[in-house]
Amino acid sequence: MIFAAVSILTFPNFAQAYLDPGSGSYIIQLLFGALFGASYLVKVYWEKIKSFFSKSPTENPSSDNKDD
Amino acid sequence: MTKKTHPGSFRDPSGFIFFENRHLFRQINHSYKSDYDLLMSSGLYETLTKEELLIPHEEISFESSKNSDAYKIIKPEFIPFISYSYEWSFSQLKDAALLTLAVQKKALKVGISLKDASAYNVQFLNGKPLIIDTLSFAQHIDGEPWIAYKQFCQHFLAPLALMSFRDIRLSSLLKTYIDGIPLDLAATLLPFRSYLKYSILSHIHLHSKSQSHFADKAIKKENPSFSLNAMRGLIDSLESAIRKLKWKPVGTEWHNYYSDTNYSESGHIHKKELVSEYIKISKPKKLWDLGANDGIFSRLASDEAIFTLSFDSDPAAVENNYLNARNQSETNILPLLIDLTNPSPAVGWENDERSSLLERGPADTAMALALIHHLAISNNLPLWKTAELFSRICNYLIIEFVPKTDSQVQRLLSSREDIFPDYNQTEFERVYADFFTIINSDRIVDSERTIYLMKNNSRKNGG
Repeated sequence: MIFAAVSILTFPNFAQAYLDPGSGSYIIQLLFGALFGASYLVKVYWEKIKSFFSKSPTENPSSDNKDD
Repeated sequence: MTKKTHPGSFRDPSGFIFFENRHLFRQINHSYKSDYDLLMSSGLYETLTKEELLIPHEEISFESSKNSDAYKIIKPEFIPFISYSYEWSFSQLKDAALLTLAVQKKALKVGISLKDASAYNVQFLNGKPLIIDTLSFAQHIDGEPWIAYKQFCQHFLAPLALMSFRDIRLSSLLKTYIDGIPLDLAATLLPFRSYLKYSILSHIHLHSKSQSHFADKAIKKENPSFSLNAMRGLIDSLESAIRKLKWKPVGTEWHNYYSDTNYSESGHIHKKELVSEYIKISKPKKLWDLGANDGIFSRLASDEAIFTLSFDSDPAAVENNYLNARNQSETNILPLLIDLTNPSPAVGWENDERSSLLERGPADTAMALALIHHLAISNNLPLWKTAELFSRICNYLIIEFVPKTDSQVQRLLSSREDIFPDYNQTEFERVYADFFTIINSDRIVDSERTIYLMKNNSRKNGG
């Protein structure tokens, strides 16, 4: 997070195709991408662990939890 | 046959909305063919319409409207009233934001992504928000970030954060900024404590910094690597950010109005009976309640399956009204934040992209209950000006006259000079007779107030 935040202000500017005024919105997603992905996986697995301990073995997890 | 393109539907090269014979259609251009076919064949359209998240449509024969760009013409389900995000309460905007993210999550499961996340793509139908732009779906390209991220933050996250962290009235910025509140402006207006919230820090403050940093720079866009998990994480992070934003509807102008009013219990019951009777006589299909507070009188119409717009200028009243409607699963009432003394203007390109309130009328019946004294005395509006406005927006008018001797009017006059010699019942009836014909009138028991049912003189086929 701190790395990504610092990167925003120190990111090298590379040449080639001009994007659009949304360039910053595009770049910040790439910068935070790993963080978003990792925290999402942690959340999904944490939910699975919680449901494992809170439900009886015969109950099925909801399909939404599996998909999300 | 007349065909007219909708003035707010010109930005998207995928198609446009048009009216023909007073029906609304959407043309889908050949350029959108593959994405439209994917939406329909992937099962996403069926899933979203079944869950009432996307507007249903039927494909129609389009010989009469055919042009060289047309791939298909669809006829979406009719939306009885188009409302805009600057007219929504906090929870209405929040629900619209969560809808957009829910749709994006479902779309991603079948390899589709929303290419737009505009609040104007959401409308309320049967009490719930749904996406109305069938052309917002595009095949998701592996590795690409969410193209609508900026728009989502500007249209939803920034206004909700400002309303929650700073002031509920800041939603009015959406009137000025038609593509959502610029993130640098939102970042400037948000308090320092918003930096301590991870989601607001990343999606607004750092996002804004990133925008300004890269605004004038050429960057390389080859082989982006934004994994599907990163995309899911982004949507999850936005959803969590939106869910955490809260606002309690307290402390505003009309919050305690009904507990602070001067009706006796029998007077209140009598007023409800009279309003119900007048609604029955005027037989409206759509009704506007112009100063609805939390919608207690609006429900006399909406409970009878009359489509009712329940306006108020107070954000707390509209919020309570919406929350009640949502909790009770009411389908015929739409609470909206409207200040009748300064109703929503026409905005956008050529002042034509978003319609003014008056352009979206008229109503069959309008109700102005306990409102005239606020217009005439608090806002210095001559009676004829109020009558003129009402005559422009309805066929029938149910209006309550509140005399100067009423304690509520006395309260309004207590802090100012009485410069309203013409504010009396005789003058009220005389002035309104220029615009309306009085059909019925009754004095409310235990009060000095009178309720009228009037018919518009200039509209021959009212009701």
